[in-house]
Amino acid sequence: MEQVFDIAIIGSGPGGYVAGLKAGQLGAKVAVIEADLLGGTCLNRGCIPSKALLSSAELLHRIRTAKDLGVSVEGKVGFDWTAIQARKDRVLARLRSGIKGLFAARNVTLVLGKASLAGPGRLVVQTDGQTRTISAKKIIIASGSVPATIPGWPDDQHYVCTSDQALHWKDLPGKVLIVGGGVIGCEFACMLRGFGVDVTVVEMLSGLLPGMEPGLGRALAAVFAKRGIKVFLDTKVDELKIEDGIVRARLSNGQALEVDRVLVATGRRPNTAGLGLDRIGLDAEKGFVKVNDRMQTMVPDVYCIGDANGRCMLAHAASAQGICAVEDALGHGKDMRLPIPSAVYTFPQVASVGLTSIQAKQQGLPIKVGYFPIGHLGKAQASGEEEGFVLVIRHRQERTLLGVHIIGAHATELIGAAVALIGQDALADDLGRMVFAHPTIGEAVKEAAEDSLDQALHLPPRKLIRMLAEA
Amino acid sequence: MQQLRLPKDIDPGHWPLVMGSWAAQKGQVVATGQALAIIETPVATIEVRSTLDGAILDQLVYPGQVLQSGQAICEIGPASAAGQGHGQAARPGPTDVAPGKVVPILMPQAGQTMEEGTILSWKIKEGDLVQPGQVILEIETDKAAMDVEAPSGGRVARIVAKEGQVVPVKTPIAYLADSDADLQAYLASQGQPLEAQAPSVQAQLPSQPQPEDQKPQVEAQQPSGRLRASPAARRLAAQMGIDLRTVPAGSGPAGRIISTDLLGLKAEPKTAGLTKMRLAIARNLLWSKQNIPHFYAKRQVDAQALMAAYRKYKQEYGCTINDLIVAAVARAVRQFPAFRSQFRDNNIVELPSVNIGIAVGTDQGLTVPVLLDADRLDLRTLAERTKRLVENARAGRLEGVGQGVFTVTNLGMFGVEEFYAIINPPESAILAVGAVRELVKVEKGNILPTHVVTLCLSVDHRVIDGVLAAQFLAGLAELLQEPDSLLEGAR
Repeated sequence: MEQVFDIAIIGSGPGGYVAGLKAGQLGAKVAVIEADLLGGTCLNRGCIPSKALLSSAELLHRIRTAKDLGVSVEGKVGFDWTAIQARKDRVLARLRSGIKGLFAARNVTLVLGKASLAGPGRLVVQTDGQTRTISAKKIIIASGSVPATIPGWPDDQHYVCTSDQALHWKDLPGKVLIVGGGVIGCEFACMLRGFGVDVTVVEMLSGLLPGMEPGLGRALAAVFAKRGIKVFLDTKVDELKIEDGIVRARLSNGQALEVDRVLVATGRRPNTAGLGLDRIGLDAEKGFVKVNDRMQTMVPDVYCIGDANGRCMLAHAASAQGICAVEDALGHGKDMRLPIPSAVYTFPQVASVGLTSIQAKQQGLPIKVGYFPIGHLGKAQASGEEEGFVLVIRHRQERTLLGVHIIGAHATELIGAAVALIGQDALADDLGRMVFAHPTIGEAVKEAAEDSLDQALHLPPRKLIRMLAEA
Repeated sequence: MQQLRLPKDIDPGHWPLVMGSWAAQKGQVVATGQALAIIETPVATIEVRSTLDGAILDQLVYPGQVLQSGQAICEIGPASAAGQGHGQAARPGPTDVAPGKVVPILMPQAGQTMEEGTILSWKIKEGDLVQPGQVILEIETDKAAMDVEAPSGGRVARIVAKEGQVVPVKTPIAYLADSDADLQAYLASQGQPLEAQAPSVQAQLPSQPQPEDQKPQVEAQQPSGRLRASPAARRLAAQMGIDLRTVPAGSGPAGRIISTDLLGLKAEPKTAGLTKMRLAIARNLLWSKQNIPHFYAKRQVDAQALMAAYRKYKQEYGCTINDLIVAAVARAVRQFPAFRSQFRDNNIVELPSVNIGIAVGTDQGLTVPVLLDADRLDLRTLAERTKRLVENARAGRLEGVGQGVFTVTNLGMFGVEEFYAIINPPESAILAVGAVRELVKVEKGNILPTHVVTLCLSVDHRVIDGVLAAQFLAGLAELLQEPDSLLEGAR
């Protein structure tokens, strides 16, 4: 039987399920089609499972460093990997049923099966060999992405795998090589090291967390070094082979490594290959579907949100784009131009919003940078969370906040204040003159904003260094 | 010419390197070890010093620019070479300006009371050679525009006052000098900053990022044209009808307007130019009210039958309530010739055709297209033509202009119960129609629901007296109570 929906959404990840809820809230007849598990990558193979595991790892790390705060832990401190995995799975199951409940409450029809585009306004969904057709006035592609793999490398997923598998490992390797020092690589390095794994990170570019403010990656590398995580920058893996149950890697710096497993964390590619884009005349660039600021594709009444359009491969970006697409589909669209924060759940955490100094340089914007080390704060010292700093970048003449970059405890929570201010075009002065609760780590954000105005009080004036220019 | 670069080891920590300010200006002669520029990093301020003697020929970076280690920041060359970039290969003959001599050109004082002058236009540019007495620029004083001549001959080394700038008298606006180095030496001896512009009476908009940016700006309007106001202030201003550009400066940081700055402010009257249509309305109606002795008659008419007819014929004829009323008015105007008569040159002229004007409000203003021979139209045609008239009027095309004899204006669709209109000259009357509304009437002791509409007639007393107006309204009321009689046009 054929049904006609106002909107059909392919994928139930953070883009698709939020779009479904929004459409339901606005009174549209909406279907969300999911080929696998509700919640997509974020809930099942990304944000949430990794955070569940990281929480266990971080607690372990805190217990191991408890004596810094005068707390002694008697006996052997250990962990039960099976129990940690089971807890993670319970969290995921609960969140999945949460989405189901929200769908029911908003009259969102959930269709399980693999969707492909059949023509204008038509989708074919295959479920266990059965095929059904769904018609919809508007279609939103929210099919997400999958981890990139490296062609030519061994394909035995026990030895060489991506985050999809690593989050659900039944046991832990003794030694691991992580290829890629981006967000996923760094989170895994931090988490696995917390569980006692010998970790080596190899990054092709010159710093960890490429794309983010360079100082953040540099500070994180220093923390990693202290924890015994080996990091090779400007380095590639030239050769990788499995011999006698051991993975041998040869690095471009001449180093030879022997590890139990390799985690490839070199990025993600769009999951659009099986959708039949060509059947509706939709072009994709390296698999990414091009969209405008309202998430409209080149084909009328077809939208694409989230990782599949490649604009910003983050869960909350996908959700925001989903709402944007649904509003446009139902006739109250507006362009999406809000700043999207990024959050890295290492410990210490890293969070950013707005322009980096590199982007300011590329755009030729005159800037001024404010800085505050978190270790100067009373709260940081009292709670033993002294690592990290805040950078605030403002426009040099107009004084608008352009970017805020944080590494330190609770950074991912602190960034919210900066998002709210940058999102409404606030000045550094707006942040600087606000009263923050004391003692909190958040005071560092205010102080850094004040420093960008040369008004920070808890920082001595910068030291003056004299250097000779080079002819 | 050589470039001076940031040291390669300036930033071991990968911090953002931001150009802070210049310690040596363009044209300045510096010695080895002298400070060139201040570079900002989050953890230190770095003073970069020169490794060469010479003049700064060019600055390659601007304050606020993000730099990288090893980046070239300025060009330096021999002090004597400064200024050779102007291409003086074929310098003709000796000039009045002896080597090393610098002649400032001053804003002249033309008259005792002149305090300042405006640069209207320069007739020369930097690098030109000028003859004594040659007209080099035009200025404007508070009294007149005048030419200014070169006080002596020589090479124009620098022009320091821009066109449009207002400059106090006896202030340098340009310099004649053989070489830029001479000029620099001269300026230094005068204790002037080397890049100094002529002091300006009115602030000049900076075209370059300013090296000093720490002073809070007092104007909410930024050089970039961006208006500084918080989102809350913008919303409030829109509600209050205040143009934020008229708010001089806010109390927020850097003069930004915040919502509390708007408390107690009132929206300024806005001057909008008059459109031709607005001007016509103003002239016509002012003339009408001043020259036509208006009087008014009001009557409430039972609209029960009218509403029944409207419901009955709406589908079939596509007519509106107003169409039925216009049809009735047309017949009444046919019946009462005074209502198609006009007062002209102490005569009363009766017009043969019942051409009814229909007042239409458009985005630009009021217009009155005219329905010709309205009394001869059957209801279907009347409804069709009226619809077309109104649509065309809204699109700016008027029909039957100047041929009307009587106008109907209706604000009933906006819920207005009754109002008095101004006569549309040269006509002698206008009917203002209010909303058809439901009310309860008492008839022979019984309470009945009914519909009524209030008709207000404005009349030119020179043509029509009160009794006639009353009779007209009574006739109209009668027609409206028998709407079936309106279906066919009069023969």
